[in-house]
Amino acid sequence: MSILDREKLIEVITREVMRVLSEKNTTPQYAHPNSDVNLEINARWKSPDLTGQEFKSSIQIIDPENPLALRAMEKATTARVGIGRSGERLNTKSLLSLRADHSMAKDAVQKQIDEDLLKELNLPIVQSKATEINEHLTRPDLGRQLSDEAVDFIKKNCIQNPQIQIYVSDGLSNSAVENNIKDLLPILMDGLTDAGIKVGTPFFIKYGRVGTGDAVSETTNAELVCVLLGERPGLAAADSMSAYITYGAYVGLPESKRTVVSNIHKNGIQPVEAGAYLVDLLQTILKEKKSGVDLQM
Amino acid sequence: MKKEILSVGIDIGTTTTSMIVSKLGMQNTAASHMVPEINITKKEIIYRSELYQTPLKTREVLDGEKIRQIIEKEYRNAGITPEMVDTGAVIITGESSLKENAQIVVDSISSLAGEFVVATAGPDLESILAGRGSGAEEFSKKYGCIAANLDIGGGTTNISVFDCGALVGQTCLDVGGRIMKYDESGIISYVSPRLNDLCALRGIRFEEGSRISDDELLEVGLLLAQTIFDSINLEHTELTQIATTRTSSPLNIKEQIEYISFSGGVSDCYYSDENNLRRFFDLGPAIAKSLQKQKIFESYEIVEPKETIRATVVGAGTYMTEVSGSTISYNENVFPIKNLPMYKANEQEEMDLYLGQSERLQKGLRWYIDQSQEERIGICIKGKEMASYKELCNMAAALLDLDAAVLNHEYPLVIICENDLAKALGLVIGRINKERTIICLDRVSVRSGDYIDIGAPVMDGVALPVVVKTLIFS
Repeated sequence: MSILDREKLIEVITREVMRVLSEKNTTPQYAHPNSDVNLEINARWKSPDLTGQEFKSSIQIIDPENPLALRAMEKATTARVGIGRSGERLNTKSLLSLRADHSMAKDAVQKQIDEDLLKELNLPIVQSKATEINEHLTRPDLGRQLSDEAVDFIKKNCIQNPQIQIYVSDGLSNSAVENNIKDLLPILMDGLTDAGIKVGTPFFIKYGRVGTGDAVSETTNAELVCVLLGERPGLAAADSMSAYITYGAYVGLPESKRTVVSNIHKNGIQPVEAGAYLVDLLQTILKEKKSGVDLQM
Repeated sequence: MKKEILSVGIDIGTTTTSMIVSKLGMQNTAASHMVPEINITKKEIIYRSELYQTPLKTREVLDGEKIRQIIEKEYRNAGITPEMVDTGAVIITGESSLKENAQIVVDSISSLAGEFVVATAGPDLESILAGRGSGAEEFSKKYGCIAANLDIGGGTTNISVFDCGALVGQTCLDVGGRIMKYDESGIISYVSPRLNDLCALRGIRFEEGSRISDDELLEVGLLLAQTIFDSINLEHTELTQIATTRTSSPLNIKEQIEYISFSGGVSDCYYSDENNLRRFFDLGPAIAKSLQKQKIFESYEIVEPKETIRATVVGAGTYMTEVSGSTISYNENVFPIKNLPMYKANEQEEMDLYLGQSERLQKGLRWYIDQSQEERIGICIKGKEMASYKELCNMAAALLDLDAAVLNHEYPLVIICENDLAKALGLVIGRINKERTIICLDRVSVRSGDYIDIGAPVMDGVALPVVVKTLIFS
């Protein structure tokens, strides 16, 4: 049978199946886009947002013992509860949802930062010693250091010896920066300035890591450094941002000296509220002269 | 750091008056790398008073002096003083709330009980507190089911329904054990008018001074059990129409109730299989027997509650107080704030605020103030889950416009958001106006017409205890 014949045969079979289905008055849930029998259905069929809450959240267990409890459990967590299975495998829906979220996560890491946004917020761009994205991912040691150009730029253009140095960095999620920083940074800066604190010039570090803050602290001679950093994306959120705060940071500082406020995103603590919280927290740390586990909250 | 608060609950019911003392323990339940979240994590009852007959001067007047003596004595027995009490509620329930001096008594008891103890009443609130105090709320959450609690007291039956721990409905019926009283020889000394209204449907009428037989007792018991059954069965019959308390409304829920627990005085007769119909010279055992014998509740699974006769007082003592969100804003310690009436902005009014416009909300609020004659009022908004800084600044300016145009400046500006937004909003308002006393809270849900109390800060000032009162005397 030639390819053409085969296609013809498939079309005939499909048509026949659709005819029988429509006679039996059973509406197929999904029809082949080219099937003229179901043109009307196709016109109404809108492809769902695979990463949207609606697609993610539907319970797929068929005939559950206790649907109420299942619904309550699902509401209580962002984990994928009650997604059912098909034999030993995931349902198609779950598979699609997981793959879509995984793609979002990869995009968040790989995509270029929106430079217009940084311009709008007056954030000059400097870079770590990592020269491109793959080096950033494979050489965390380079990401923790500032490039020579960055050191020069900061020394020349930024306020020296500030009480608080705030800067923004991509970390592992450019989406986190894009979705949160516009509402997080201004309220934080305004709040601290109003409190009469000498705040350093904010900037953006490309290919930065948490530890880059230690180098920033040494370069600006800031009393306290706070980096607003994109977190490693997961399958629950690809745009989660954290604030890592270190008092008296220096290169080689133990990680236990850092205070962190995580989960800043639309389904965690929203950026403006996180900003207002940080205004208070940073002042407390400045007053106490310590951060991390030394800070008893 | 203050991690525990002492709470009292006092219930002045139709038949009995009682008190409990509890300790509410608070904890930051968020992980250390996240923004704090203070929650009440422990509720421990440390003292239960005995049950007293609610003292009456005449049939229509409570004996305030005797009630005061009871409370003073029980405070001594519990080893507490009013100064030690951080929060709590006095609730006046059932027929006691209808007495001429009900409000005066409950107000004076609340001030005697401590600065932060609130006075409450209202049949729906009573239903909710009994449902929580009985453990029905917890049961529905633990077992993932729909559970109803029926608190059958002296004057009323308070019903509340919970779906996996969430309140979904409540109602109140004027049905209770003491809506008829008689003496040893069966001579009726009291019949509530509502009981005769119900009996009229069966062509019966009871007069004070006449004698009641066992058969008649059972017949009345059956009638009342049927009324209760119709109510939870969502069959709004003539019985439930007559019996539903005037300030409540018939039960309206979407899902089918699966489990039922009984609390209140009559429940003790139910669970103990009280056989002596005339044991208390009232209708209690007859109602309990009818509930049991007629098996009208076969379609539901009956469970025993954690609390029976004390369900309401336990609810008042441990479930009235909630804790605000933990990122909030206040620039002066003006607490406690008591009985602050609230106005909830509607969707359109709130949307305008994000655009910097307050005219619509001003209009709504002015109308509400004219109607209610309140001289101070707090504003409640839903609050966006993802507000931009621009929207927030607009909203702050609009709220201050509103404050200047409509609100009384002798009182602080109180704003309550349902979503977590209060700290940011408070900060931005404070940037525009540094002088004004501002209190901005979140994670508290109120409706127009609710009253709130805000207590002194807890957990290093991170959060504030809040009591939302749905209805004070109607």
